[in-house]
Amino acid sequence: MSALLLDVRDVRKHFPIARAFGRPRAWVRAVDGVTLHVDRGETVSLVGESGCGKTTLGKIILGLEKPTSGDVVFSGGVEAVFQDPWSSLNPRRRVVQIVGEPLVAAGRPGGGRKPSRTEVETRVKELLEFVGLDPRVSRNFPHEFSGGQRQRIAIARALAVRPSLIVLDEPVSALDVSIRAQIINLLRDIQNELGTSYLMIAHDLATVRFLSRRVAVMYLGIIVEEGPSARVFDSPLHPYTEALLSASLPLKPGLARKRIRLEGEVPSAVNPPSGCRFRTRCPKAFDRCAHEVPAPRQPVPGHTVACHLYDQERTSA
Amino acid sequence: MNAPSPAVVLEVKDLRTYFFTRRGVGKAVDGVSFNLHAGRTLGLVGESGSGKSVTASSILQLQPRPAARIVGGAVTFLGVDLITKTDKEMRAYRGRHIAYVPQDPLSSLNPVYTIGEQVAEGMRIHLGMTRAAARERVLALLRVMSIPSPEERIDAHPHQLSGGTRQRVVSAMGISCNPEILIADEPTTALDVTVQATYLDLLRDVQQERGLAILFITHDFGIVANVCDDVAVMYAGRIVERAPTRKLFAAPAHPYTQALLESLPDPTQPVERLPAIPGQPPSIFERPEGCPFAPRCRKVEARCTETYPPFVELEDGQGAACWKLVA
Repeated sequence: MSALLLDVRDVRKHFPIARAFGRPRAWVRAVDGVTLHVDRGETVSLVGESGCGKTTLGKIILGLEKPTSGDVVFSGGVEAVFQDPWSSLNPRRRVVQIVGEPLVAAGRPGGGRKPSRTEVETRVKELLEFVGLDPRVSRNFPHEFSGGQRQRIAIARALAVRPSLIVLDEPVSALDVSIRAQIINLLRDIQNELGTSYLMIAHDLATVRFLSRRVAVMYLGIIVEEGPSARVFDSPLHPYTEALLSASLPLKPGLARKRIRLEGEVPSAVNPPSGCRFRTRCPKAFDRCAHEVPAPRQPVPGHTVACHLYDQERTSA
Repeated sequence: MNAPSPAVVLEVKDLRTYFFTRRGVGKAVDGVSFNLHAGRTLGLVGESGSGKSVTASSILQLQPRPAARIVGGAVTFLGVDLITKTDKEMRAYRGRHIAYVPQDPLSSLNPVYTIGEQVAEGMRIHLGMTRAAARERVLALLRVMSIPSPEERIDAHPHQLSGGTRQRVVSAMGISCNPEILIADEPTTALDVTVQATYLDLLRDVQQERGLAILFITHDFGIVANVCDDVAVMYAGRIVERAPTRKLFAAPAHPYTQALLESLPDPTQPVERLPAIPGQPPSIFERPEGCPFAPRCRKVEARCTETYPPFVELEDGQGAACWKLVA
């Protein structure tokens, strides 16, 4: 039972830098040819380290950035929940205004009539109740709430216009440990009940694994591996994914994987390495990696990897 | 595991640091006791507002003043009482004997000076080293911290370095005067996982080489499980449980620790919903009577809401403050 909701095809986003006389002399290739899809009702996560392009990709999907090239095909509404519930809610507005704003905005342009104040208030109260808040708090200001409650308000706001997709940008990483499980459960309940799809950007791999059906691993502007979350975590194919997993700390003593140490730092996205972008740090790199960009392959059905280690069958065939 | 227990280098006893504000008195740290041992790492875990960072800063009398004041307890460093020291006297200990590595390395680096000048400063002041000698030592420290091309980086300014390298520079500064104790306040929060892993490996190597005692402040149980020898769990200004790390994960004694560990996603045991802890930690200004975890505790009983439970010593260095453990 899968129905395509979001289709991202070969999307690129290059930011101009070092302008000379108004003309850019160089570009940061933040996103450099990403193809990805999200089905209805599923959660797809983007993982990768700072500068890999996951945040820019999220902004493109939200329509906050225009891609330099490529297509984003999407039908339905998209909303967002951000990492920091302290800065993402307007401190001068009451909860009812914050949560109700998308309703008022959606009613205005084109067709829909502007909903009345009572309609908005009723709907806001429903939403607050749905995310586990007392509907009587709708007249309060954000500073009167704890981090977990604020994240619930942000989620209620995102749900107001019943989007088919929510981009979750590090939705629990700013929250206390004892609150995280509450929000993770809430996100799962919402998906079960409303069939909302999530595109989650996160670095906490335990949360990613718990919430996601599929995971895409990004490095320096491209997706190097993508597949069902259990497969990516248990049998990673790309050497970068292996290194990333080996560096994450298991939540029990004595279970640490054998560490794969990566040499050096992530190269600049202005001048990514030739061939495979990961080759400068890859413990398994060989000649070909410097000369040829690895094309995405599916050594296992549904599990894609862009790495020359998986070319053999093709070349010999 | 019956080796002679390593030397105690720091003893914190019944430490109390309160905030005096217009909203009232906030008991941020309300009777905290623990020891640090040479060559071992104690993890101080807790959520925001639990008092873990204020505990760490109070050891060096760096608690946020003037609002926060140490109102009781003792901090003893190798037999010397630090609580009664004046700010000026404390300077002989900060950096020299007890170093502090903050969460955000940028906040402790001066943008105007080079890395070399800043790492050298402590050694010039505390150890009276000449400029040339200190520079040699800085180069050696940058190498210890595996900073690539140290001869170039030594003359770089902080903004020219990546986050991981800055954190290593601050750590190099931390160990420059050969301190007995390193207090690391969530030093890896801003770092990527692969960078964090490398940094933690380095810290462990340096510790083993120098017999450093480390107090590691964190809220991340991954770090606790993989870095700390012992753990103290804080809740609402007090230590509610203390145990060797393996013991804590295998058999947590306090209901708060139990509930926290159960609420973490565990890939080996897929569940539909996580067993979340209801409610939220109390504000430092509105601490309930009795055990502050009682309103969220699934094992709560009448006496829990009346009197704070005593800290009960159990086997193998484990202990917890819970009425359930009192016969």
